[in-house]
Amino acid sequence: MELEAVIGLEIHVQTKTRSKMFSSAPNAFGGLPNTQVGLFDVAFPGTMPSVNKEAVVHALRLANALHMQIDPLVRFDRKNYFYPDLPKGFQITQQFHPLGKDGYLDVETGDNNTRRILIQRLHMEEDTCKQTHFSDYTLLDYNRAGIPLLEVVTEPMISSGQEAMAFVEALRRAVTFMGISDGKMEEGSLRCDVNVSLREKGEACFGPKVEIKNLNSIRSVGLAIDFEIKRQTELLENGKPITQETRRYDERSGETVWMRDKENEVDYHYLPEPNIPPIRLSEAFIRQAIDSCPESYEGKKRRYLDMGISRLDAEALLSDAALSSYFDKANQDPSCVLHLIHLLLGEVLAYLNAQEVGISSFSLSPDTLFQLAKKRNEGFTHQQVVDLFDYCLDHSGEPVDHAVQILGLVPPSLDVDSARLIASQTISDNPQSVLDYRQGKDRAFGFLVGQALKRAKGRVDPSVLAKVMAELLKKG
Amino acid sequence: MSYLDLPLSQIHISLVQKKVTPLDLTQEALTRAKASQDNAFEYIAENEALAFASALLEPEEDNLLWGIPYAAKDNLSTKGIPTTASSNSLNGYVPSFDATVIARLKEKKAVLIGKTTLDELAMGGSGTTGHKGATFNPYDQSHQRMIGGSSCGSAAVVASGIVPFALGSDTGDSIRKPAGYSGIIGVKPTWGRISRFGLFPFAPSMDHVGYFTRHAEDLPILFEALAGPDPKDLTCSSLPVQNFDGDKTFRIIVLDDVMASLPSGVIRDAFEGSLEKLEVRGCEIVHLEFGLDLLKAIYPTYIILSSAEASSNDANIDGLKFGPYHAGESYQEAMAKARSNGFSELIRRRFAIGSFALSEENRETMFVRAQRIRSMIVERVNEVLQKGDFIYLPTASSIAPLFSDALERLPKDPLPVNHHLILGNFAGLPSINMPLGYERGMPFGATLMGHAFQEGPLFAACSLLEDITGLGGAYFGEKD
Amino acid sequence: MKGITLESVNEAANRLLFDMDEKECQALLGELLLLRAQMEKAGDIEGLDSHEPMVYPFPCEISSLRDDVPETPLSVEGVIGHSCSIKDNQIKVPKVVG
Repeated sequence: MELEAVIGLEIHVQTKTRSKMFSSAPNAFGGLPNTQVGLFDVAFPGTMPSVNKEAVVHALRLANALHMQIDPLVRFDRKNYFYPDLPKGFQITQQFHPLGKDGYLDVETGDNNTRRILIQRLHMEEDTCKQTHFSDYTLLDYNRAGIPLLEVVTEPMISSGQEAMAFVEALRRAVTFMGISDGKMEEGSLRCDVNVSLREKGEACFGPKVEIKNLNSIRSVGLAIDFEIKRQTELLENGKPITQETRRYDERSGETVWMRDKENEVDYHYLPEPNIPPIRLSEAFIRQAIDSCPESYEGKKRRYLDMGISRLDAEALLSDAALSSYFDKANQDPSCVLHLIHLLLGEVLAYLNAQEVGISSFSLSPDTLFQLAKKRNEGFTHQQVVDLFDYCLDHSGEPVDHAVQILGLVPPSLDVDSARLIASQTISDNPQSVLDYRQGKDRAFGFLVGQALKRAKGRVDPSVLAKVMAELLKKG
Repeated sequence: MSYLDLPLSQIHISLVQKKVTPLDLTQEALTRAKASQDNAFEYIAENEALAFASALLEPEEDNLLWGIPYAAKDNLSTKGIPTTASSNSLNGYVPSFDATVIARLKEKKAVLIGKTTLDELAMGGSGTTGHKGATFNPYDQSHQRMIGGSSCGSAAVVASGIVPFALGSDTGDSIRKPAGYSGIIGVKPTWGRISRFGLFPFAPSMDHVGYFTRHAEDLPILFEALAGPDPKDLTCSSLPVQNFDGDKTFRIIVLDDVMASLPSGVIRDAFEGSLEKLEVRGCEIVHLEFGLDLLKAIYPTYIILSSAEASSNDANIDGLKFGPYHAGESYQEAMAKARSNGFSELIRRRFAIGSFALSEENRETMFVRAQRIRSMIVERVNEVLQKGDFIYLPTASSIAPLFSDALERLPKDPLPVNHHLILGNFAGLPSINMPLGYERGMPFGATLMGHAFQEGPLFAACSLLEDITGLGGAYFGEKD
Repeated sequence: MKGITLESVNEAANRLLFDMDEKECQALLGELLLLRAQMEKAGDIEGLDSHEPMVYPFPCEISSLRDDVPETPLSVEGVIGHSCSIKDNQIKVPKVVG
């Protein structure tokens, strides 16, 4: 038998709003337990929800980026179940009327192919408490309870671990570049659950579905799926049945491990949320949310390539939304762009890696880096700029020109050969002036020398330049 | 006769003229509260009330609620004052925030003297299911008759003259029925008029915060203080209140098929007598039929919808965050013990009905069908109301039942006259019980229900009715 | 409609994390059978299925949303102070497995 894998992804994205989805408590990463909690988050009797505008804006932007049909009437439902991390005994979600429906994302599947992955739904909901488990007890931290989540569910049509990774990466890129989320699986701001089943190639119906949880990186997503496909294939080839179950991915062994059986769907007693009336989003509001969206990955890439940046460098800059953001702020003069990129991808990244921090913690401002790049244009050598860079790191806030003075740096003078080259280039560029000179117009000589000095950016001794110019002109 | 028994505006004048102080009034209310034998209080906030009242020295001339003592149903969150909703599952819970209505009254310098009993978590109609046992009807000193519920305590304290007004909540009739059984005015405004922030929810799509008083002229005063937009409650309306200055010659609708279920007797006679008197005053009586099938569907629909919503609303009560904690081997056990021990039998049954109605297999034929029936009923109510200004009906088929007759089980054949009040909850229409008369010394009332957001004309009609009956200000013990 | 049996009635209660004894279950059984009969009768009302399930008493759409401005959170005491089971500034429950 020829088997094919059928994979669906369910991805939760934590959004970077300043307050929570249904309460005004702060939404901030880190923080000591239970220091970012409001009355509603603990579900004290009589507390009621209110809806965060920015969370809706993020949801609209993502729905738009995923080419979804947007429902302008926002309605919420309750998903009822009991669990210690669920203070109200229900989660407010959008079961019956997701904000976005029927969208897609085109992903690169390697070997230059793209595949359109269809997306069933996108909806808004709220996060649960953080549980910390000890030997015989569990502690609950309500900081995370109520943080806005966006849930994206694909159609079950992904065919391999690689394709799944490509999808998650594309989604991660989308949400980080649009400023929606940090998109970090290791930190939990992007979470991925996977459903894997197998069927005979060409079959229409689905085989028993196995859910895989506890995936902490994009790589794990691929590895877990690959293992699960192998596991299910072996079972089927040996005539054994596949049970519908939930499995946990174990990073160390690279295997999926049984967690619990999934006999029937849990009955969540869905019920429309009576304390949130339907919210009508005007066309203008939706349009404004979408139009004011930060530039996407694709948009930036196109722009970089148009600027003349190499594909390799562009992709390196775009490997991190914060890095490309920094670059955009520092890129104040097209004539310096290549020097800027060289510094950014070279010295800056090396420094950040050594310090084990991200660009968001980098002490030099984009403007300072631009000033440094400019120095290269002014004739300073790479090493001189590196020295300036190091100095600026140790003396943050000091302007670059001041550093130049303190270090006593001067761009090197050009040697005679370079002077000769410049003079020769100037002669080629100014045939009329040369003719004038040969016809005895002395002023032409002064003009040619001036042009050559300009070209040398003042880095050559004017008398040396005049001398080689005269020599070349004599040669005819 | 004390200042406490007067209409608010008259108490106010005496306060402004310094004939009496807030402290005097508060002390008197507390004395009456402590002497009460009706089991109407969860908690008498004596120290808090005296401290608050003592600080009120300079009367605010334009504030009619300044220095006035009142009580609040114990399902309204009160900062620093225990709030249990008469449920063991919330014993010891002392909220750290005030419900919006409590905060508004605090701002108006009204003096909260205590929290009153209710049927547990507001889910009941007999006033017997609270964790302190039954609340008695002040009109029956032998303690054989109920006062109804769920706002039993608030009705009792106003009906026995302890305070001039009290806050309650009404989801199926929980203000108006006990008001009818105890001869006082019970107000359920339009849905969304008064903020529910801080009200422990029973069924949010039908819950209303309301109040009890004894004088029709107090109605707009309290309404103005309590109603109004609240960003903390998204369902709270920002529509302005319009005062009513017109002629009190209203068109009053009587539903004949509801009346048909009312046995002949004192109540029927009194009701029909009031119709005649209303006609004499220039009102027109319009007789219409609602539709018996829909009338009979009211009660089961209400039970399913309210139980379903309640089963979800009270899922936060698990002993972990507040309320008594019960240790267990697993989290399920800890939570289940807290709930099994904390909830009484009646509400466990109601929750179970809700759970059943919302389950995947039954959702369509129970919960969703109930939602459709509600839609049909509401459509019919609005259709009927097009023909007049109010629907006017007796509040109940009898005087307050004996405890021994109360079952708190679903009736096999619900009488429309005992359940028409629910129309006000399904449709969110403003509805007020007015005292109508007495039978064997026990009060009975009649309810007026008006158009949505038209409280102005409704208050005027209540005023008219009070004029007709002459029962304004009546309470048990007033002659003592 | 799912069969109304002692078993399904117990399940309904257990889904809400509480127990009911035999007597209560019997009482509930009676009530559910009654409700079912009444709802079945109501199901015959003409025009019922053409009515949309109603959530709110009347149309109440809003158009405003809350500005994304964080407010001062509760103190730790404010969060856990009402609980009878706390440890290390958090609420403590028996070990959660699965």
